[in-house]
Amino acid sequence: MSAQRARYLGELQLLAPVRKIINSQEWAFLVESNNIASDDDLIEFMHGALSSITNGHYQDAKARALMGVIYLTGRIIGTCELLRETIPTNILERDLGISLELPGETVNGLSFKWPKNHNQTEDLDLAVSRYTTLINEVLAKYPSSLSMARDHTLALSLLSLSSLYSVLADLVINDLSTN
Amino acid sequence: MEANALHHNSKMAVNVGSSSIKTSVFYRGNRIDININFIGLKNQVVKVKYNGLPGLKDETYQVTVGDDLAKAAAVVIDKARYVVAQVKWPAPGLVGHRVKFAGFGKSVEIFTKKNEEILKFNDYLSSRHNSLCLEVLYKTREAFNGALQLMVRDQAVSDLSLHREENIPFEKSLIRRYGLYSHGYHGLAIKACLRQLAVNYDVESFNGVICQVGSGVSFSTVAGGKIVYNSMQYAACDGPVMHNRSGTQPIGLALRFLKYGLKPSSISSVYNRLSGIYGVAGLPANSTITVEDILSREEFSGAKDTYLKANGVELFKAITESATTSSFVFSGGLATKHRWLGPELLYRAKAITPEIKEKLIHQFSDPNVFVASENGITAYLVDIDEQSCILNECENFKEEQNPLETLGGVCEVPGTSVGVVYEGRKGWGRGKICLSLVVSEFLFDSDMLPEAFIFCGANRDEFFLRAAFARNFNIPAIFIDQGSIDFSLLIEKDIYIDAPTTTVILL
Repeated sequence: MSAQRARYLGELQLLAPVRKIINSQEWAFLVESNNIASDDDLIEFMHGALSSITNGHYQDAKARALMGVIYLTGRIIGTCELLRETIPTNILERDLGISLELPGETVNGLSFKWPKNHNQTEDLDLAVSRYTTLINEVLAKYPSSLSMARDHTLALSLLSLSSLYSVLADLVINDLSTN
Repeated sequence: MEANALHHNSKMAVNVGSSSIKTSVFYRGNRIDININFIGLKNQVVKVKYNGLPGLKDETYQVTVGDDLAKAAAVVIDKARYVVAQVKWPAPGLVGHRVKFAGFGKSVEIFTKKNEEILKFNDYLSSRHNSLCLEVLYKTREAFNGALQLMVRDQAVSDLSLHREENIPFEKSLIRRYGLYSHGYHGLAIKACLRQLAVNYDVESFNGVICQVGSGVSFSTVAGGKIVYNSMQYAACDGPVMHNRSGTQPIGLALRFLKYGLKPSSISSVYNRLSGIYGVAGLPANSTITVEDILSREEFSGAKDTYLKANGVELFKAITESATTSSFVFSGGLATKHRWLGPELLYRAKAITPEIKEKLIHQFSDPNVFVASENGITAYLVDIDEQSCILNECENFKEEQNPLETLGGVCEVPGTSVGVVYEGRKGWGRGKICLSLVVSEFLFDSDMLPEAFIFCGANRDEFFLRAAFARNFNIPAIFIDQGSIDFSLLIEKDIYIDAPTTTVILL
């Protein structure tokens, strides 16, 4: 894991559910054998997470989601930096516009569920159904790399990256019991 | 520039409106005024007034700059440079610019790059005041290289006393997230009126309403000498109907505009430029017919009546803000030229009867009468000199920068908050602003949310998750580069923070 990604993980570890994920076998296995290097990889990874949820492999789904969140953190930061360099408007206008497209922003539907407290548990069936719907909805917007033309590389917009982050962060930080 | 040098140079006051630029150069008790009017129309009028300087005759001439703001600025400032050289005055060492929509802050500040950015950012609140003001700033910098450029805020009050949350009928979280704080406008005119009341009429602690009726119109309620209400709350178009500004209208109009396809970015122009008494009279914004024409000519009697009625309602609102209001000051070009206008507005506001209105108008029909009283109601006509007010404000300027000038700041979550700053865990809860360093404890507790977050570190990305949390719960937040600020200045201080402009002010 690069130093940059390690730094993002460092902040994420402020949350107990993240610490739980990185102590799991699934995480150790994933980190050793997988890497998300592009937006195409990310979409593939999300398909994997969806499949894990459907098959009841919740800890694997969470580990995949955490890897996605770390990748997306870097992608979003990079995109913000690029936008800050290239948008020619007033800097305050530009920064405001960018902030409205970042994860959590309610005006663009980017808010996500935060656990009220660590003892609160969502009904498992409901949670599984919610995540399946969320991920399916977001994946429906992007073709999987298998169905894409070979010469085409997916490059997601800031709003898209943030919406993916919000879905995956939700999966990371909220409890999927019995796992 | 050194204080000594300032004394030896002339000084300049710049007063930019929505379609005019007024400048005055002051030197050893003398003064030269150079103004341009009707910017936006086909032709403009430039007036140069030497105020009795020997051997110099006042000038009035026409120029054609149309709607080109930069050209309009150049016409005035180039003329000022020429005239100053002609009379052999030293070039201005200080230029004070009246600014209207510069956000909340100190009365007078250096016109920094950051302040320029804020003016550009806030242009949507103005009727092009900000764009024109910046063009004049650029031109004065070029013409009078080395002069200290100051901005003089035209805010009604220099604190947050006009912000009363209980009067804003929206959820508290919306007030904070969307920065619904107001401090009013026309402050220089209000101050000038109060000063004249004290000097000319021995009124030290005024109780009443100050009615500024020019191209811009506002009503300000004053109780015991303190401003308690100002109708121009957020934007140039707020309050009364003005020449090309809508005044406060049913919000359903804005909803309809948006629903039927008006771009959100065009709303400002519609309300601040393509409306007002011109709209009522069916005239385009660039009409050569003036508000004075509309108020005087028979064919516009319908528009005049609508204008008076709408503004009477706004005056009535101002009257209700104080328990005892029987004194009224009328200032501004329209009210002082059309002496019937003040009493007529009072009548429309149901503050006086038709009989009292007639008696007040009769008293004002004598051009030497500036105070009219009838049946316990007193009306003053006050001619103010805003140029001198700008200069006075500049004279009081203390060259101390805002120590919290957050040049390295970035908006993470838009909004405006007030609260006391604490670091880490102690910063969570109502009335508090949480200063979060990389190593600070961060509670992620949605039941104990602070009023705002200040993330302070070496890299913005170190707070990515924390900023997402703030965004998720609509808590205004900014990131500040730790190298650009001594954050110990903030601890346990009551501050105002406006995230989009990354403004932090000690209260």
